[in-house]
Amino acid sequence: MAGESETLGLHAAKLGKRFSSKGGDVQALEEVDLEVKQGGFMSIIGPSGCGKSTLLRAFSDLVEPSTGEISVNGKMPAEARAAREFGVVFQSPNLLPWRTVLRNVTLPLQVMGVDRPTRNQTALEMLELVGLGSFARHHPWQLSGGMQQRVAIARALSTNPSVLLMDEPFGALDEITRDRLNLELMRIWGQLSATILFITHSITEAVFLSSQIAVMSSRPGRITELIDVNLPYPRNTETRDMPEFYELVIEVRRALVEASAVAS
Amino acid sequence: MTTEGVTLAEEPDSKDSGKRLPIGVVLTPTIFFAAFLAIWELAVRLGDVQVLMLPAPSVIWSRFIKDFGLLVELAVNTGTEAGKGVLIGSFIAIGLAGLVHGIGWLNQGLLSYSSTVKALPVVALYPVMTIFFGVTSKAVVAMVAVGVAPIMFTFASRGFSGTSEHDDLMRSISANWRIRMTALVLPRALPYVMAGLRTAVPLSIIISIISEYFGGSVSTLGAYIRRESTMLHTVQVWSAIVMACLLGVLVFVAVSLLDRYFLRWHSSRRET
Repeated sequence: MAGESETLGLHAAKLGKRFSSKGGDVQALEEVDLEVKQGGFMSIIGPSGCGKSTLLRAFSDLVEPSTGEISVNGKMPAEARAAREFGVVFQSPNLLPWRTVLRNVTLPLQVMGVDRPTRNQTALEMLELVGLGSFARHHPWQLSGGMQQRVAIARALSTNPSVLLMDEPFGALDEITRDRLNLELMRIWGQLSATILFITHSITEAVFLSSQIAVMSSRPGRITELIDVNLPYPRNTETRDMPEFYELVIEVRRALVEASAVAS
Repeated sequence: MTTEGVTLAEEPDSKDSGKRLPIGVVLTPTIFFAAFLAIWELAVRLGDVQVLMLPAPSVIWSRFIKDFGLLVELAVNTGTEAGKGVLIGSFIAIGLAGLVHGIGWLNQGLLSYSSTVKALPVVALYPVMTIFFGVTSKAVVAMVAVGVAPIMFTFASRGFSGTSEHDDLMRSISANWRIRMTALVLPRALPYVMAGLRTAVPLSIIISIISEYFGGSVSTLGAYIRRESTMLHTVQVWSAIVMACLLGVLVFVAVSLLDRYFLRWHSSRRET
């Protein structure tokens, strides 16, 4: 049992990524060590262009690391992808506009070869979970940005992955919608107990959601500080009124300032 | 009013209400056209122009009504030739674009080739087609296919070369080639294919009629116009021209309707 829990979750050791281009090389990630325990909620926060998205893309096998080791549930990202260990939620909802909401959610199941009645049923359950059960027959353009992103979450969850990789999923939304979706995400996470890696540039969002926050600096992208968030779960609207919440917001802000001071 | 993505559409079904074409869009051209016909009619009558030179619109119209059955048959035959040509040319062009997309040098080579061919007067090749296919409607179909294929290749190739965040999505869910093609690559190319068809379909009618001038099936608009003109049946020529115009309008409307149906998800088809 102890041995198994060591391999589950997300691991990165001395991870480095260098992008080469005509304008010169960019060290997007340098010596990144990260561990997200199974069932943990880790947020990565940092200034724009610090490489936090690159880190997530390395876990989701969309970027090949230059150096170091990385694993998802003890597997290499490519193996983990093939084994459907993780679902990805992108910055934009990334829905296929020519497909209905339902057929967007069934897409990963279609890839897996699940038969149509089963995948429709699963997709409907996922849409119910994100509160969009009655929008199955709509097309994405008929939905608001927040609703579209909820469809994207339903799609990522449809294969029942144990890891969810979320790349600034609420970054393009207004603050009210974002707060609502944060609550929603907490509710969903409580029901599924998945491991979540969550990229954001919002301090309050990171504090509200996470069990742990990694602060990144830019150029080279490295993790400068790990902050434990010991706020009780389940989190709800009252969480945002707790004095500890504000203390943590201040602490993360200080860490971010220090991280950017290192960079410049 | 709607901007992409972000605006709220909590009542999605309410958006088609209250759409109306501004009256001027229809009225103004109608008035202009009516005035044009009136001036034509008057000029012919008052100027005492010989019917062999230029018949009055009323004369053309009564001939058109009288020969309507025949003219429809001619238009159907011409339209069928054009349609077959578009289908064959598009099928080859889109298939080829799909095959070579991703093979940079081959794609580039074919693209510059098709740009060159587009600039050439392809109907000049018609005599060559009759060598291959004889003076038959097959030669006309082949001519249309040759004329349409470079246009469709250019558009399809542009459609296939597009990339988007959806590619990351497909990779993240480990989609196989078949699903990537049917769920992403082909639908993503569809707006480009439709844009190609909007150019190619009216052109196919032009190519068909001009090819028919030089022979092919007897019972087509082009062959009819040529035959009647050599006999100085000017009124018959004009009535066939009216039918050719109607055919052109018809296929244009047909393509527009197809476009609207297949691309109803596309952001550019939803404004106004």
